[in-house]
Amino acid sequence: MEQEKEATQKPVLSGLRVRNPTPSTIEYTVTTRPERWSRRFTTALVLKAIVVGIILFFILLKQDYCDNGLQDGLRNSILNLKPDINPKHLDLLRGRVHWYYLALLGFSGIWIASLRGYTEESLLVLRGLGVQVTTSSSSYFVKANTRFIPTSTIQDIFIHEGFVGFEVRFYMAIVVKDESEVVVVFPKLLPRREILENVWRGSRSLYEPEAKTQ
Amino acid sequence: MSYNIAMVSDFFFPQPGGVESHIYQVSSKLVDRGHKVVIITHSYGDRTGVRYLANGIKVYYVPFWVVYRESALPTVFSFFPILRQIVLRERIDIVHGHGSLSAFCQEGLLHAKTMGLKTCFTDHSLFGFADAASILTNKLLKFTLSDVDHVICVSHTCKENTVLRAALDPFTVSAIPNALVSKDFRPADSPPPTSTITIVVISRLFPNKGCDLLVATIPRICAQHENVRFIIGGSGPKAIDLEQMIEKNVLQDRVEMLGPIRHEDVRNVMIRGQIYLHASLTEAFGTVIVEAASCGLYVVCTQVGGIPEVLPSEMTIFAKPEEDDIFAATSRAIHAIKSGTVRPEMFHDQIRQMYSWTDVAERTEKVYDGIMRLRSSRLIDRLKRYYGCGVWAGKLFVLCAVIDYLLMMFLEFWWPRRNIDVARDWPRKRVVRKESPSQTDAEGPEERNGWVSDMQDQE
Repeated sequence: MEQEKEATQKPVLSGLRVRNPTPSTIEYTVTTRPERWSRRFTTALVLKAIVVGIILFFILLKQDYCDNGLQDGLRNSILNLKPDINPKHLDLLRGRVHWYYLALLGFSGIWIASLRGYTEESLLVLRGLGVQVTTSSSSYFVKANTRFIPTSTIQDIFIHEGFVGFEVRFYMAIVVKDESEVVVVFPKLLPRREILENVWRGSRSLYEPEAKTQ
Repeated sequence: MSYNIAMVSDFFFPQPGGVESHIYQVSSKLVDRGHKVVIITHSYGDRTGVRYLANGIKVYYVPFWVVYRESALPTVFSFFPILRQIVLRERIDIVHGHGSLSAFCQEGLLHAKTMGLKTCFTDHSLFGFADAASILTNKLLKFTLSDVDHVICVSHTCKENTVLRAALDPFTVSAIPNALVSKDFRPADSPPPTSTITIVVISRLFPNKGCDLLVATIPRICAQHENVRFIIGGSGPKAIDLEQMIEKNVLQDRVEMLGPIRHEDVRNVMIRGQIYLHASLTEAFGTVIVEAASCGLYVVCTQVGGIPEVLPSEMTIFAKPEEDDIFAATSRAIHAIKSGTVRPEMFHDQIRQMYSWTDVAERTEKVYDGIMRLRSSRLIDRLKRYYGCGVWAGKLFVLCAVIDYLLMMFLEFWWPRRNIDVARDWPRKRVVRKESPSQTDAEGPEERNGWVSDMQDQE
């Protein structure tokens, strides 16, 4: 890792990204985030746009209805575009949709639009200082779950196997002094063994005191 | 040729017992012979997950419900997803089940067959044919065993029993006895004086271990012979009967009850006596009498189950499982010891040559060699075999097998093989194929395994 000092993201293994911002820090990121303009990315974007569009449409329609006396901009433009629509149906729809339904719809729309749709988990190793584990939240509005563990409290970092539902998975865990439970690194994604071994080697060389003096 | 073997059973450490130590010892010796062994059992209390034992044996404690006496809930299919994961990640070739009362073992064998693996089954106990529980177990056993590649029994009596219960072809059944770590059962350096004869009984105090016979015989022996003492080790529901017997006959100074004995203390108790009395009513093998003989005790035992095959006749006096005969046999043993016509301290060397886990592992390996040569059967052949199991049961079994097959297809789709990580192997041992007899006898320093000391009781 020492030779590759450029702070660029480079995929070592599929699903793992390694960043080396400074010679003494190294960040491992495991993510399910789709590549930009990949099919999944575009689909999610289009779906979110459709949801937002529908909500905007209803709000504008309702807005029209309330300011009935002034102008019927949206109503008239719809009727102009599609003259075969019965205007009574449109008015009925406007009357039916109450404001509180709209509010509910609006909030759920915002919630859906704010969903991240992927999980990103990272381990930042600061040589001699400690490690920071981060798990992204499900929404853009909620802060990521971050924890810093100083080197002095780290007793061990290990890879082991365990039962998760109907599966047996590898996991990497940090043993913290005076805590009964270990801290699992990448707890949501539980990446594959290859990735974990790679991360383990990197984290090990950095937190051990003999590595510090090199 | 080395294999990846999965031992599947409900019974494993930390629970003490004969099946448990058998699995551990055989696994340990198979690892010594260059194979890879994983043990799959259900979780015991907070002991869940994956653990390693000495010698690199990996144990999967699968979280599962326990219904009765450490047996898991017998669900037909729920174990399949986990078993498949373990089999794929450990690249298992052979699934070896232990103990016919183990739901895990029965399920594991069925699923392993569905996945096209080789299967082997070891039966550790004898069963009746008459009572309801036996009939049910036998039917179930017939189902799983009708498709198992090979069956191992701990004695020839056990083999006959299993062949009858599961309607098997006797050619697919082998008898491989248990063994013992003879180093742990050496006779006393100085044998106890024969002025007082001490008779040792170590057994779990359950009705099937013949405690009622002991209750009836001990007062008669004490009345007949002046300087005879008893030491009884073990615990169980029949302990209270024995205590009543002691009080009723005022034998407090002649019969000593020790309570539960840890397995590593068994030898220390054994060497206090000259005669070992075993009054069990049913026994597939009876490891304890081998241990007693190895400790240099003259063995008086009932002629039931697999016991007559276990020891050569000069080490034992057999009795019918009835009061008078046990009394007569014990009296004969006391006379023999007093007159010095038997030399029990010589037994140890004979036992050491007769029983060793290395030998058991070698023979088990031969069984594996045999089943690996077999062609794996097609689904339709398996279904034909299941169909032959009975009028109604046959159809039910076929249905189960078909559902199992469909379940495998579903699992293959839901958790594809390529997404399952293969676990790293423990570094394998250098394979020592040809062993000189002296090497087999002198067991290495790794023989003594510290964690047998977990055992609380003596099987």
